[in-house]
Amino acid sequence: MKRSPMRPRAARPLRTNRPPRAARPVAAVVAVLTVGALVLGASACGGRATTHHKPGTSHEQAGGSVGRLLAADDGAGNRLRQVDAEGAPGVTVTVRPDSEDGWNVHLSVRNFTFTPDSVGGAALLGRGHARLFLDGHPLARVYGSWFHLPASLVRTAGGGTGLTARLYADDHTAWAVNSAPVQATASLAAPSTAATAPGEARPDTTVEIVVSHGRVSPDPGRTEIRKGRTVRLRVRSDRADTLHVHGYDKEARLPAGKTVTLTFTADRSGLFEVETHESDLLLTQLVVR
Amino acid sequence: MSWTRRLLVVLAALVAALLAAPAAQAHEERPVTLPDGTGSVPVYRTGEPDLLVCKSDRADFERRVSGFPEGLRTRNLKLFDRCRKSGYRHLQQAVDAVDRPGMNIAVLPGLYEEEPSLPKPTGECARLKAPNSQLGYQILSYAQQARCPHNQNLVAILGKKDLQIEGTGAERTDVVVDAKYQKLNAIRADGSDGIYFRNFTAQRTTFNSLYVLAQDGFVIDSVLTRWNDEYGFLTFASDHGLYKNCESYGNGDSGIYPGSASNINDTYGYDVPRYSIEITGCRSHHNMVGYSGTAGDSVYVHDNEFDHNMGGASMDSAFPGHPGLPQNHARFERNLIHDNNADYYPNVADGTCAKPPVDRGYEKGVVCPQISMPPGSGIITAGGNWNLYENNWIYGQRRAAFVLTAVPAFIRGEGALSKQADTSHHNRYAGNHLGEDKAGNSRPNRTDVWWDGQGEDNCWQADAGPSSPRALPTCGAERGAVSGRTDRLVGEPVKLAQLLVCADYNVQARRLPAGCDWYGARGIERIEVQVALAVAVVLVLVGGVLWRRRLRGSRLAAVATVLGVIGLGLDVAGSTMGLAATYVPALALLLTGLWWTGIGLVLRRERPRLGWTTVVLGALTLLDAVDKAVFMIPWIPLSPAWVRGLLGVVWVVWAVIAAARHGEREAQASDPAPDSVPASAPAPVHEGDAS
Repeated sequence: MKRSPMRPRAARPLRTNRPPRAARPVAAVVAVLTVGALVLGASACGGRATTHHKPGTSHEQAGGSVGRLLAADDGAGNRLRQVDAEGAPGVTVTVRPDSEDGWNVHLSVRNFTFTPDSVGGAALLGRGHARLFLDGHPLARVYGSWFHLPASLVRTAGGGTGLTARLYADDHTAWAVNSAPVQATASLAAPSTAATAPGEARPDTTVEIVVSHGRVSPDPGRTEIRKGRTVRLRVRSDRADTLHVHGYDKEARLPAGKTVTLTFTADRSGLFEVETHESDLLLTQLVVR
Repeated sequence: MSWTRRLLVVLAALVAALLAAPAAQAHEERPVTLPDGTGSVPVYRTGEPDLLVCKSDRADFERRVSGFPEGLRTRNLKLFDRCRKSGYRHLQQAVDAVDRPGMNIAVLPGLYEEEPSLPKPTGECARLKAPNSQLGYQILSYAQQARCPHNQNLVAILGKKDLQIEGTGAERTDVVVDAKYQKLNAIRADGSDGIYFRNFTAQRTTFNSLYVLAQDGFVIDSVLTRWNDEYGFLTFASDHGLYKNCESYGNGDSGIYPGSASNINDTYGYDVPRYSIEITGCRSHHNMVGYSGTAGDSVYVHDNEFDHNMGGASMDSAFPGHPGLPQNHARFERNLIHDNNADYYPNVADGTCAKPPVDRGYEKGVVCPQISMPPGSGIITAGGNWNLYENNWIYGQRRAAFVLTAVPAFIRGEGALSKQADTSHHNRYAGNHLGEDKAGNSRPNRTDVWWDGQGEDNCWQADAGPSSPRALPTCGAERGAVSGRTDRLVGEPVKLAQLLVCADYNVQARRLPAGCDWYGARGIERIEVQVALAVAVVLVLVGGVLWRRRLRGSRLAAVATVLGVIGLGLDVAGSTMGLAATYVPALALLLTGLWWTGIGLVLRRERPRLGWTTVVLGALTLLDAVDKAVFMIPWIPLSPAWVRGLLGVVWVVWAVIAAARHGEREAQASDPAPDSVPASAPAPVHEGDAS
């Protein structure tokens, strides 16, 4: 132990030269103050404070499981998390055309709280976020009850009218009751303004391609597309690869065994090759005019 | 210690007996002793990890690392392949596999729920014999922790020396250890000197996320903790510690709590050989307090940001069982402490905090303040010595930048008389940027200093703005240089009354003291205003009767009485929040003092004893005005306000008797009656600021 003369804490300077007469007033002071303090203490606050941390909030540890993970998924690779119907999260969705652009989507939830900051954490009952899908294609993740859906997002997703809102837990599992995801659907009416021409949301061209053991099916050929239309490439490869559309320079990762959708607007005319990078396979040629 | 001084100490203790400290933390744990200090701060080790932890879903993993920079992504994919062959699926399994000092565990991106640790204790572990804490959990011994590591901890690191645990993600949020409010602690390191934590997140506990207990040597590097009933980081009774680049939010007590940091500088003055714990580059926000330190001794806190809490930082000597009390030698430098004005007390009032932790909504920003504290404060020191607060930026505080109060020793469970006044000495607040952000923009604090007046050699920078008291001892250029040598045993009476009322907070009973502005009381609801108003009413009545019955003939008395009425009015005005830190309270004292002096001089002709007593009361009041506005009077062990207040009580009784007997005397013409003797008795309620 180091000791330094700098700090006489316990032995504070004594004041021994105080005249003894001071004692009586001090004693009176003590008496009066004590009475005063006790009167005030008793009247102003209900009871004496303890010298400990008062108990504080309960520190009750949570228990039990948070639903049961099913083998089934939501169609997008997220497993279902089944809970009892009673007290299960629920959602309804309403859509109204926005006066300027697109739609306003309102999610009305019950037994559910949006928790944007904890997404990525573990699932807790009745918490999480919602996802919006348009005819099965993912649109957006939603962290609150209102969402503005711009017409451009609908176009990018390839158009459609069936809007689905589905509830997910923080760990991205989908809440489910009786093996069915908790979700609601609504129909997108045409937006009321001229900003979005109805034609733009027309059905697009979808090309489905499967790569298996280095073979492309259907056999590579040409796909004719009208300029300005939306193209949707749905590709599944049995090994991890990269999808590439020449000219448009669009790329997408192809995880093994998963169907990947690449959507874009064919806004330039010409002949464009679609190929895989690692295995160097030609998948199809797009003729845009 | 002379016995007169001893009496004063008793007096201080009696007053303080009714107080709980305004801002303090507590934490009940098995008895521990401070480390012997022979260890060292561990150094980060690069190189290949010895043990790997990952989840098994490859697709999920690839998605998690897909956005990483190429080099890091490749490394993670490589580690993942290795981990799938020879790694662990849970962090606890890897910790259990540590068989020698100096091993490195790498935790790959993923969510770790540590399922095998989750079940409630069964069998022997459900029947441990251990005392219960006030907070509702068992206080287990080390042996019991070792036998039942998951009674309280999601991940228990017991007796592993020089272990390094590192997340391999691009961000600390890429590796998440989530206790889901099912355990008291997410990660506990106990008996594991030299532990190094790096680059992960721990969250959602019913006590603390990352707990380091009684260790010599630890580093917390780039770790995030959040959403806990009490603390984000709790490092207790430890030495050779370093927190860097950490973050914490959403805690009911504090984000960062270096409680009972090793008391290595107890015998030193300001110059110390080293600090036990260093905290730098951390941000702690949206908690009750950003930083707290019951017995936070020898902690060097620099270049951090504590913002948007109820209070930026606090340190105290208010709870028993913390080695190293009273708190001493914290050093705060270059920290940004600002906008700590959150008010989470409504969460207690509306019942949100009465729900189980899992249902309170911490993730949405709910905080349940565990104790009573003054929201809107920058740095609170409730009983501490030799603390240095220099060169910090403190701004945008709606209450006060600095709060300093004393806490007598028996509050922390030490009854020795000589210790009762051993806190709040030698605290130095110098060279701080008050009311100004780093860019130099003006962001004033409502008050720069709030001090109860107790203690010796405390000092503040000369350029501090509004303060209470208005006149403060100022710091000289050198540490230890202080203008004036005040050394009071007890704080100002009205401030103690306020602390007394405010301390009556109870979360479980949902009790928020009505008279205290910490919980939203304003105007006449505040105890300070009530006291001032009651005193003013009594004095106006007594003064008025006295003037009417005894002093009407004197012009001096008339002028004095008018001044007195104005003074009392100003005293009520000066007790409001807006004017408390201005010169108004001192002006009120000046006028009231002049009143007493004036009427005393007149009274003395007919009633010398009452007259002279009144003059003395006036003089004391003037002295109090000087003490509060011009300079604090050194050498006296109590503020003039105490003596003045007590004498005022006697005076009121005496003056009433004198006024009442006046008519009787007149009737009996020149019949000489003896001067009335002051009734020494029942002290009325206003032991407060009896102006």
